[in-house]
Amino acid sequence: MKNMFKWMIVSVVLLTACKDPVPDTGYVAPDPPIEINDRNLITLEFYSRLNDETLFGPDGYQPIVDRINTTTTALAYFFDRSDVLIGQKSSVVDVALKTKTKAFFVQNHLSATYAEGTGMLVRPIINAFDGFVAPDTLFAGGCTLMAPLGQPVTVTLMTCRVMYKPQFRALVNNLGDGLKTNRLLTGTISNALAEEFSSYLKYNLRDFRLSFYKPDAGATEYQLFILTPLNFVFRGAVASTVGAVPLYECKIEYLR
Amino acid sequence: MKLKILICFAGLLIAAQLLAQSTQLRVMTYNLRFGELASLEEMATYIRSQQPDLVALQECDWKTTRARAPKQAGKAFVNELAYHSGLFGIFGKAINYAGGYYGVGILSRYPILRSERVLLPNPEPAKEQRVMLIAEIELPDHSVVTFISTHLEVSSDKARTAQIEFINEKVKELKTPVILAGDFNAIPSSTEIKSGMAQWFAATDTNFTYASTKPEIKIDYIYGLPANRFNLLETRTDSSCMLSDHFPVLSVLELKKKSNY
Repeated sequence: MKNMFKWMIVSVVLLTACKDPVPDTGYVAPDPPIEINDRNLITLEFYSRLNDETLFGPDGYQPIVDRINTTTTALAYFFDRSDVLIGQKSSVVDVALKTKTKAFFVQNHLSATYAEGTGMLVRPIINAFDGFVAPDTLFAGGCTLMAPLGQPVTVTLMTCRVMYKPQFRALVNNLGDGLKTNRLLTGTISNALAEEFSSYLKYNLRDFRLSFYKPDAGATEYQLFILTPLNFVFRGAVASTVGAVPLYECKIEYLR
Repeated sequence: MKLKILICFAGLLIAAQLLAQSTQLRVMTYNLRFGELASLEEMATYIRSQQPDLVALQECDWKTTRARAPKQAGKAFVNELAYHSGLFGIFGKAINYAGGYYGVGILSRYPILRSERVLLPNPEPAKEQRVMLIAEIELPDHSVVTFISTHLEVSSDKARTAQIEFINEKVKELKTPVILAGDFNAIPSSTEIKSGMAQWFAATDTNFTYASTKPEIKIDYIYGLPANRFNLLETRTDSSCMLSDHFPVLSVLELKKKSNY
């Protein structure tokens, strides 16, 4: 009787151990609606070469100025790697001057003579530019503004460049519950890190949607990433060039 | 001989160490008189010539159309000055005015990490809404300093006192050294300045800053907090600069590292 009881316990343990474990896939966002509501689309214009080169070449940026002044109604404009020589006239500040927009600069690296980073332009008067810093690791910056959607919605548009793994943790730690307050992060990430970034977020963040965008044509070292709360979803990007500068027009839908 | 060389070497090491533990900042405050008396290009040329790291601007317009300054119609002052002086710039709206906005601004040699426009209290009989524009700025050594530009109420000492009390409360929230600059509309012997700003490091002299055509009072100031983090290396009220009805004030501050005090 005693032996039988022992065998029963062993059998139960073995059966439990052999049972297929439920695969832990980390956090998976629910599917968004298939149908797109055009009235709730935000457009962000992201100018980037998706590599480590500076954005503006000798051809300059007059076509971009013309586009902002005449054609486009994007909520914000991002200029990846529109680096600045400290104390010298800056291209993004010049675009802001010529388009009467407000400029902000989100630096990846800063020295006494050079700031490497992303310029950002917005049209409305802004009360606050926001940002978070993990010293020597990451700076993500942007601003809060009203998006003129079907109903006006307050969104915080931020950007950063992800180039090293330690930035994953810095980003998640600093985001905290930030995504819940309609914070949309659009930036660039090294191709080599994209998969790992996705996996890291799945296990360290909740209630988010992460999308990547890589243009079909041409080899790039970076791709765009779009990190949003669940009530927003990235609906794709259209690649083009303005003058000689590559542009990705990103559409993000507000799902209410 | 050997001992002398050793002492010199040690002295040099100590000097280098002290230098590495402080940062020099050239700080300017300038009330622009909404560009009535000079072009923005002239102002930018002047600002650039002073090589400031931080500039607090007052009486800045954003796309207004003023009868008294027709040449500035439609211009975004901060953008113009930032571009032409090779600095970064932000604008803080105080009021809607003449088809655009009127307020204060900040120019910075280094990128701005965060900024916030804060409304100041406006008790009767204050004439108009006043603001403070707060910017956190990362310096090349990766330390962060908070720079504030403000323009206080002109017609009521009661309102100015309330505004200074508010600023003093607000800066308690900040975790970095603070530099506050602007047009306080109060003379050095006023209660607002004497007791309201007592805890701050005063980083200007007593020379008159207003009016440029007939200087009679000082109302433009630069301050630092905590007081023991700052040294004043140089300060100058430029009475030769007639681009506005105020004189620009420039101070060179030494910002000591925390471990240094």
